[in-house]
Amino acid sequence: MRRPLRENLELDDESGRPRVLCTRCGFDFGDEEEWRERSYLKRQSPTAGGPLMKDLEGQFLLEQLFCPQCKTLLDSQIVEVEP
Amino acid sequence: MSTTRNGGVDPITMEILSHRLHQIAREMGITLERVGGTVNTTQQHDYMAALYTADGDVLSAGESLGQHVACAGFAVKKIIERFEHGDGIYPDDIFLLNDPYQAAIHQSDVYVLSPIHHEGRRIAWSATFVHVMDIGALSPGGNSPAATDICHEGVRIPGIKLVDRGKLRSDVFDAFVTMTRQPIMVGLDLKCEIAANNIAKARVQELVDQYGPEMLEAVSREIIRFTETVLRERIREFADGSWSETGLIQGDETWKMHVTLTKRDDRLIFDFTGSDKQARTGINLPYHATYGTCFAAVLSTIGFDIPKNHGAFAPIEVIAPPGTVANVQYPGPVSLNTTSGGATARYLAPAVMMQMLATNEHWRNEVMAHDAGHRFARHAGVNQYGRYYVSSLSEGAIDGRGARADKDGVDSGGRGWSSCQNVEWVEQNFPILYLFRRHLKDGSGAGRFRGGTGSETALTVHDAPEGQIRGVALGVAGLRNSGQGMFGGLFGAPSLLVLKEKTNIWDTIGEKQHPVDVEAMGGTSEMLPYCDFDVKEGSVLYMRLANGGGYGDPLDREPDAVLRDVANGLVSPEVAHDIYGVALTSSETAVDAAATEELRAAIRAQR
Repeated sequence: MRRPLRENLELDDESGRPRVLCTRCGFDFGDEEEWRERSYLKRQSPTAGGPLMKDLEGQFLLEQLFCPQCKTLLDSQIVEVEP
Repeated sequence: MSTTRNGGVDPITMEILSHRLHQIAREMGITLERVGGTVNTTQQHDYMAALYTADGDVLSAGESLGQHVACAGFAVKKIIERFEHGDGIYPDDIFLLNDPYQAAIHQSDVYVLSPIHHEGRRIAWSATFVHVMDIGALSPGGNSPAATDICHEGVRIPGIKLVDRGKLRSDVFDAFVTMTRQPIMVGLDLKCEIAANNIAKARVQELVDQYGPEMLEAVSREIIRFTETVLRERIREFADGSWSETGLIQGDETWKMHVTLTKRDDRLIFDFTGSDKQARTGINLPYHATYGTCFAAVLSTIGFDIPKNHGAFAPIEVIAPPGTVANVQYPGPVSLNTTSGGATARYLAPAVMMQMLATNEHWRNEVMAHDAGHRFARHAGVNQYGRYYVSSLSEGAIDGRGARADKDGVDSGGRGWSSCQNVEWVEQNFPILYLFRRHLKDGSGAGRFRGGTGSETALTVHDAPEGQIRGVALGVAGLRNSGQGMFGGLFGAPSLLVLKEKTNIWDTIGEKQHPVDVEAMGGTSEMLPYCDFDVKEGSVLYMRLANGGGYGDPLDREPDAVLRDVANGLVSPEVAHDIYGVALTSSETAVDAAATEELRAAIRAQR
């Protein structure tokens, strides 16, 4: 049975072991605990999120997760720059 | 009257009385607005009005703020505990409580509570709160950035009888208002609460005269049972799981609030373990406020169409370790909390609920990005008529709202329950001149559905006898405030409070030009944390409010929607190109479809 996990991701437990799949291209992320680690992670200046994010430069980065296969954007977070 | 279903109440009577109780709570709120005279109550609607059972369980919340509805219920129970076997609780008594270590959220939110009797027997309670104009704390208005413990934060009453069997206790009333900077306005605040509670009493007694006290009890039991039953059924629709979220408040230090929501069978457990230790500034929440936030979050996400009452308590558990920002212990300060720790909790609880909603085919369309707070300010001083005043700016009511799963966020949609003072009213009553109040271009979080655009305003002092006014900087401080995106959607631009001094605005005005460009105003700029500050002549207070977070991948947004945003001045052509991947024609009046497809493919390839 398949059910949504979040936008662009679904959970498929037809085989008995739940797998997280990309709804666009079917990429298999593994189980629910590991889909983030299996995503393609990119960190860049927060201004990649808009010009008004310039106030965050130096303190924060825009961290995004993508499907490694079709590059669908899955998550966007603002994270602190590590000292 | 036929009584065969619904706990002995026929369904028609059940519906009628359920709605009647709702309307009584609404009428209480209307009374607060019409009898009150302060900006907090009449314009910002920073109040609550609700009905409770004889034991203090939430019975009918009208359209009031969920957090306060829960806390006022705790306040009723505290009054029962304090007075029932002591001084007594009699018909036509009215009580006051504002102690955050009992049931209030912070001292400025003054609860007024009234037992309702029928033939000498207590059958219900009514309760209101308003955010009074001053509470005698370090800073005017009550929110005190310099406070390091609760005793710096003004009058604190654990429960006192304000009206004794129908007679106002003028000793209590006078003592309370005299301890504030605005005794007339605070007195008006208390009187509007007394009026609203008197209305509640009259209406409930009319209901009981018509239907009898047994019917009220039966209906009360049944609507509470109904809410609990429906909520548990809805919770069971989701698969078991856990979801987490973290919020930050940045002042002199950075404080983290963290929550994990666990859904097990028909229960929801909100666990704030992992939140930082309580702060020595007033951002901390008492436990009941954290609980009330979760109560409100559950009702607003999966219970928005059912009566708000005690039935929502049973399926919810809230864990908040003592001594943390989510469960402050004495003597931790709290005066800033509703707009800092409270705003953060009001973001976190719905945020984890939304993650849960996204896992269900039916509920995923109800997902909405939530905002994580904004900056704003209170102000005080001598107005142009020579009178001392304390007030607050209400621009928080014109935040952009988060994007939804199927539509954009509401531009300057605010909080839903509050409204923004109009500029003319502010200028008429205070020595303030607005330079602009407008939507913030490129403020909204990009996404398949765009976050709502927030607002930006700038004001200066004008015709102030003292040449300045005093401000208090509030809200969720730090650049990680504002709207958080969901499922790829980007963040709204941070909410800021900036004080510019020694600007050239009066030269600009003298040249018959309108100062609308913040950079061009010159002078110095300081981003304000939690602090008291002065706005002098020639200074400008710039406020950028919260902007809604986006939902989903911006490259999935309909190109024509991006074109409309550009035409409406909400998104710049540069953002349309760089973030949404939409190429416009040279006149920027149409989408170049082929170029857009190419551009989006190129952006994807570079990810």
